[in-house]
Amino acid sequence: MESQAESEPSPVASPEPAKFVSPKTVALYGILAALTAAITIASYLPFSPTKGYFNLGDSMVFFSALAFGCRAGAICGGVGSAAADVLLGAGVYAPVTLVAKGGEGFVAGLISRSGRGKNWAVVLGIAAGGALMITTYFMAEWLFLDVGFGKALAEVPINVAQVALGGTIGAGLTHLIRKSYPSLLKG
Amino acid sequence: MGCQNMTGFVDLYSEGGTFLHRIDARVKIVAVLFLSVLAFLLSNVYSLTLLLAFIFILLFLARASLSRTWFALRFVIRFMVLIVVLWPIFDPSGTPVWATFGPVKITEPAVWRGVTSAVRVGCLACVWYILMFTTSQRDLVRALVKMGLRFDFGLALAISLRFLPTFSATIDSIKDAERARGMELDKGSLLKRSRNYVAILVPTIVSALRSADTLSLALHSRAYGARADRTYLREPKMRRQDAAALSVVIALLVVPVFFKFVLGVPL
Amino acid sequence: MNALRMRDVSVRYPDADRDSLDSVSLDIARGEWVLLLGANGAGKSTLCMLTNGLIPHVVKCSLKGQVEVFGKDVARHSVATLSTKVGIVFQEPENQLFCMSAEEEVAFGPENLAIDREEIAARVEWALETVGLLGCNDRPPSSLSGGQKQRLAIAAALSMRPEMLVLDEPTYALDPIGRIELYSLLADLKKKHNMTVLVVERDAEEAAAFADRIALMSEGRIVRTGRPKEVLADPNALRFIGVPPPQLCEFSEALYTRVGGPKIDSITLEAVAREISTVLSAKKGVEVIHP
Repeated sequence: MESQAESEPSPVASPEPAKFVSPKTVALYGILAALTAAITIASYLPFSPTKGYFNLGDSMVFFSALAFGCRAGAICGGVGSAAADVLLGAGVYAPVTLVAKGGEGFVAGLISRSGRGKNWAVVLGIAAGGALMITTYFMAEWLFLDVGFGKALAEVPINVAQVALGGTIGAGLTHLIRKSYPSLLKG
Repeated sequence: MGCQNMTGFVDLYSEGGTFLHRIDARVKIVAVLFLSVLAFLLSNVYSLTLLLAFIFILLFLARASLSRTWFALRFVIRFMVLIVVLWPIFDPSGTPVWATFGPVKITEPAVWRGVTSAVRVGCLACVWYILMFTTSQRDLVRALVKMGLRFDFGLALAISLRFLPTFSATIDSIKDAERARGMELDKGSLLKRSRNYVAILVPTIVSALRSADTLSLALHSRAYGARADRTYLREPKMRRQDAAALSVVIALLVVPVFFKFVLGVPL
Repeated sequence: MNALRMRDVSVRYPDADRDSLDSVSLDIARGEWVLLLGANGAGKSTLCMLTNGLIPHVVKCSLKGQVEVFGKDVARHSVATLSTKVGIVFQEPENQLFCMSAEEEVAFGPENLAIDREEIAARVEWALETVGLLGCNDRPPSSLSGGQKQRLAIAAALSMRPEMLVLDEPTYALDPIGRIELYSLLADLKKKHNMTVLVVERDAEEAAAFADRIALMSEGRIVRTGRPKEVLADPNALRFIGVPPPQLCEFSEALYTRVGGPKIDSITLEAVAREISTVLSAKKGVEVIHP
């Protein structure tokens, strides 16, 4: 029986399918953003009283970037971290976070991928991405939110520690998972 | 519906029947944007305080529970105090000088600038809570899609919000298991700590990436992307009260802007 | 026209050293309920993914042979088209529910097919009612119990108005009562809507009594098909392919071989109990021989 000769009109005989991103991408990006937010929230430590808000969310930003490239790093890092901000009650930071962490993921992914994932490229990518993130937060707090030079400066050491720890963990995770579960990283 | 769930993080939203709950989420998003813009445009500490008071009245009308409000305000208050304390220390400009500690000069204008900035940041932070206290994540995503966010991006956002509590719970259960085995998660050197965290994160990430695989098969199986002219079961509709609320929101931005920039009132 | 027609189907994944399906032929009639049993890695999930075209359209592999569902060659129709014929439910409900309310979950498929809003509303109502979740419309899927999640996944498939449901280890995370509830729901759909059902399981407990036919699978091949009574009459065949026989069959087997009791070939608890009580009342003062 030839299926094309079906008499009932097929419900999906639309002239054009939607130009959406692939289901694989939607699922992967959604999951990575959720992981970023979950890990940010799980590792969130409200330091008292002079330090703000320390977390390990950067590890997932770097993991997304190193394992799946700059687009995943930018979108999942930015959206996931911003969502965590909103849910933790720091919604005022969300727009800044979107840009800062998104940029961090983008740069880390871009540099590590152009260096074909070699160790130096990974380290350079994390350092450059981290530097961008720290600068973005500092500039945004100082000039955009206008919280004062002192308050903006107080965040810098926390962010440096986050990048150091998050970068180490992110690179470690990517290495471990690429070694042990290579099929999972085929995007 | 409990406020604090097992994973120790809070969904700020709680169900309710206040007018803030009933207003179309798009109007609330616009309100957040406009009031934020207004907070940036105002430079007078009194008008900013008035704005903050207005936002607090709205927060009160949202009838969020005390624990929720405290959870949110805890952050804002710490933030505001830090600004007021740190600003004068790094800004020695102006006179009169109130106090001098070695190289640090505390001047009156710097203190006022700190207070002004703190109140502004308070406005920017609290205006979010009006939206977050009264809008479910589902309505938020729906509104964003209706406002022009691409459907597939909206879906990815919905997926991430949907899986967030699941992953939080996974992380917590693994943490508990590791603790029960005697692993000290938050002790030791930087390197040791990161190694401990990797032990927690690897199983979490591996299972999450497996979910992503099944998820994409499920999306395929339910005809995701089959047609460009996709329909929607529920579409937010602007009702009369939504339109009224929107005009109030617009007036809230336009009137002060008119007074400040056209009439020159120092707001 | 059969619901499913597979002829000499072989599937091999890239990097695999053997075929996941090895010239499998299987026919399922309309309105028939087939239970596919096999151990881990027998190729059951691969077979499921063939029924709505996930293989070969989505999952990368080499496919030989022919698969038709309701007369449509799966290689020549999109997954979206086939999804209106075959609804597929995966093992873990958690990973196939991605919306923020039960209602959106069920509406998602029809929405993608650009169906009218009124029609979607009617389908959502019907699907949720069918699976017993009416009134949970606004609840987030994550707040539902394991059984409810599984039923919601079925409702999400039902709203596409399929003629066949394929369930890959649907009772994986359910207790025996949850399993029977789920199978009863499917039995109801089969009775009322002539739904064709293909259920894949790793053990036959509870599932066998509902099926019209059982197919045993091992290492990519279908090694045996037959009516449940016939297949279960030989528990060793199940053990041989790594599937634990239902406890009831083991009981009947032990009664016959080790105690010298009557040979019982029923597979439901009620029927077995009836047979035993018949036998017992026939010979008063039965002696129990301890092994």
